Amino acid sequence: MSIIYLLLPMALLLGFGFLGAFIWMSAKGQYDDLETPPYRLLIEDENSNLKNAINTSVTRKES
Amino acid sequence: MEEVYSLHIAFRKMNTVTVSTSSFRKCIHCGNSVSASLRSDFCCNGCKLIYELLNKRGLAQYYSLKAKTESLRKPLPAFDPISDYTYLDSPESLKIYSWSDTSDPSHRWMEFYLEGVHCAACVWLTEKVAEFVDDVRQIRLNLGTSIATVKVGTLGSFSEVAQEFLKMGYRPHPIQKGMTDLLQKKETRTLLVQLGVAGACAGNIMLLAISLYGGVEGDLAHHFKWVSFILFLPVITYSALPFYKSALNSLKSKQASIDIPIVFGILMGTVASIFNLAIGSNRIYFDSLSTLIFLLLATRYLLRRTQQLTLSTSHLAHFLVPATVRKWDPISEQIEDVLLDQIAPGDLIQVRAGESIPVDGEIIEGSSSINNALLTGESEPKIVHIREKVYAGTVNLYSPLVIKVSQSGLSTRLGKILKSIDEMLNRKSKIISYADRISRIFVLFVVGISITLLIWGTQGNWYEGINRSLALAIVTCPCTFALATPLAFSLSLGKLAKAGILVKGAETLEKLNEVRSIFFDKTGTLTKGTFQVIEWISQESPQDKMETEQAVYALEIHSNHPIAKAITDYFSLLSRPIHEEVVHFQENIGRGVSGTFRGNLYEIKRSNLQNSNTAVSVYKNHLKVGDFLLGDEIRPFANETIQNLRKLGLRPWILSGDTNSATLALADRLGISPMSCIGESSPEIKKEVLASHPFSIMVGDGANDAIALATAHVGVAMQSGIEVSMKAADIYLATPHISSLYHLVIISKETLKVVRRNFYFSLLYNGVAATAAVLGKIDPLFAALLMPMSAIIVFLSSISGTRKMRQSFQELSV
Repeated sequence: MSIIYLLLPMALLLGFGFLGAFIWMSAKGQYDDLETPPYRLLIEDENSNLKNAINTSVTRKES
Repeated sequence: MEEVYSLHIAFRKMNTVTVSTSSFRKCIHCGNSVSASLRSDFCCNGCKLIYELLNKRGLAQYYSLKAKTESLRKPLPAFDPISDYTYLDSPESLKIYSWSDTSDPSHRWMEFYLEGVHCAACVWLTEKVAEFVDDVRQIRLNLGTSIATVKVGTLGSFSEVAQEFLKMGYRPHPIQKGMTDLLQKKETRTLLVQLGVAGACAGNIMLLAISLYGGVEGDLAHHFKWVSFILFLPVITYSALPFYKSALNSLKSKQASIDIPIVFGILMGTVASIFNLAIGSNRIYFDSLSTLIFLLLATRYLLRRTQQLTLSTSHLAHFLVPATVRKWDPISEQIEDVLLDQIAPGDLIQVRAGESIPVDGEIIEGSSSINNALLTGESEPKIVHIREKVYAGTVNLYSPLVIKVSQSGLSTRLGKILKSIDEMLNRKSKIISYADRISRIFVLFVVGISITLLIWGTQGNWYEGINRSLALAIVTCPCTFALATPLAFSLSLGKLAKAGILVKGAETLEKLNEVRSIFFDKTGTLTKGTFQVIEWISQESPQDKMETEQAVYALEIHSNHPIAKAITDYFSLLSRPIHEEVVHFQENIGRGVSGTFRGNLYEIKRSNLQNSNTAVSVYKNHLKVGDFLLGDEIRPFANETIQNLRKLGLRPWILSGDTNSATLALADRLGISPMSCIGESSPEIKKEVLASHPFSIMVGDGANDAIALATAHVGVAMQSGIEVSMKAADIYLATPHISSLYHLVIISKETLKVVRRNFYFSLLYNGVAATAAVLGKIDPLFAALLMPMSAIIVFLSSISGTRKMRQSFQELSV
């Protein structure tokens, strides 16, 4: 069970690594606007390259 | 002749069958209901114009996006574009409103508050504006605060961006640089980090604690206990800072605060745990304490974020007068554009038709009609001649005037009003919240602790005594109550915001519980505020009628009079107006217009009032062919709302700038007693009335009500001139439905009921837990179970609200 003396610090290190990332992101302003990004997900860019690629490959299959 | 005519009209009215369509129509653009008499797909000309614009530009995706998404708040009908934003490009304006990053000087930023953004489609549309204006690098909209951040390159023009926003139907208000409360932003971020640290540590401490509950012993237990102590340190020293600060401030100012017993409980718990840790006992409470701090911070953060959804108004510019004026130099006989700041009393300036007057002054040359709505609230224009006084903020309607400046800037009547608002707002005392008031009870518990300690101490068992009294301190902490209260408020505030009722803060909801009277402004508040065509009665055949309608539109479009506006609005939605040439157009100020259209002479003249409505007759080649009935419609359900508010125990008053007779007439129609009616009130009088009636709500709109709004215990601004109203008022109604006032009052009362309910539960819980602590039954496991149980109960209590609350929210969302 003495392995716990290695595992516990490692786990804590990992946890606090994430905490550090959280603090850094908050300082960069990622959490300032939490209402708008969910709405942005719903917006489709009509001219996106991905969409065009999918459309052309579909039409190619059909032809 | 007059009696025959009125009989004729009455007969026509009787025979008009109201066609009720199977479902009421909704405006294609904004979704608000369309008045049935209009038979149109749009609620207003603004929405119609935008619909056409979007289709023309290939942006019709807006409507499919809108259908897919949920609205953050109720949409507003679109505005007709009439504003001029070119002042934004001047170097002086840029200094005030825009900024650059020092690392990136070739780009400039500016922020705008946009009225009417409510869903994802609005986000898409707003950000698409970047594609329609040259050299705009980025536009990002924050839907929660309605603030759009715009980044332009060296060639970009902010005024064009603003104009585009307006065209899309979102009236933009520029925000002074640096005023978006950077301090607030920093504080919110700090709170979030404190929350995150508390959460991370609490989670890890909990993991270790579980093993301790599970019975681990020996060296491992010893090490786990110390590790949990180390993990606890950041929580007690950093995350709990907000509580320490608040408790210290309250102690310094000798006021009660809920944070005082909380801090005491947390610190005592820490002391007990450290003491027990040192002596090797198992009675450590780091897990409960850290989770508690985490939860307390969580609900506070939630409340803070919710309160930010309504605008913190310090950063809206007072933009009620133009920035540049046309100065007339009598010597060189030339007009030059100068900044308003550079005008001194005695200067001569020229104000053209349609422009707003920037100064207080005396007319030197010209006659015109003036719209005094900003200062008096009445939209009926007033005719002015030489040597008469005019005031800053009013709009010149008819013809150019040369004015001699007597006051400008802050010494104008408008400027004094604005300064007065700031003073009133500073003086407005903050109420001590319910939570803080009852914290005294919890402090009593603390006193009980000391006594317990004493009793046990004198019985010789110091160890047991300390432990029990410390345990008592922990469980009598009003934590669950302090958890649930911000939650209850933020839920109500959030739902109200969604319904279009923007409330500035939790304390406003509390204040609404204390009010005894409600004062209504008349024009724009109880009524819609503008002339509207109630009926258009034509005496011609359908073909001739159509031509007359086109003629009337073509004529009235040349006039700035509110009646002309009402008529052109009415026709722009019905027929397809043709902009043909009108020959010999003439306007008689305040009386009517005339002109020749397609060979026929049309005269549109005011006729006698028809029972307090305004009547306008149309003559074709000197023969009468039709009549307009115009009026300022009372808002729908105004009557009901007032009766309902009366039932809630509020005494309704009307406080208006209009004539006594008009005010009494309206009071009569709404069932308000003439004793509660005060007419002919200037902004200054309104302030005095409200000062003599503490514990009142003032409902008003525009700058003329602003001081009253700031003076009242609770000020409610109706959908109107945003800058001044939002600053002066505690609540801003972004919805035209006056019935929401009733629901607002109910919801605030119910929210307080929920808070009180939480309090009683909290007392009960604390009583039970205190007894257990005194009897020595509180061990860490027990405390760790007790706390989340009670927290869940009060959470559920706050979330479920009350039945009346749910009902009201239901009605508001319809």
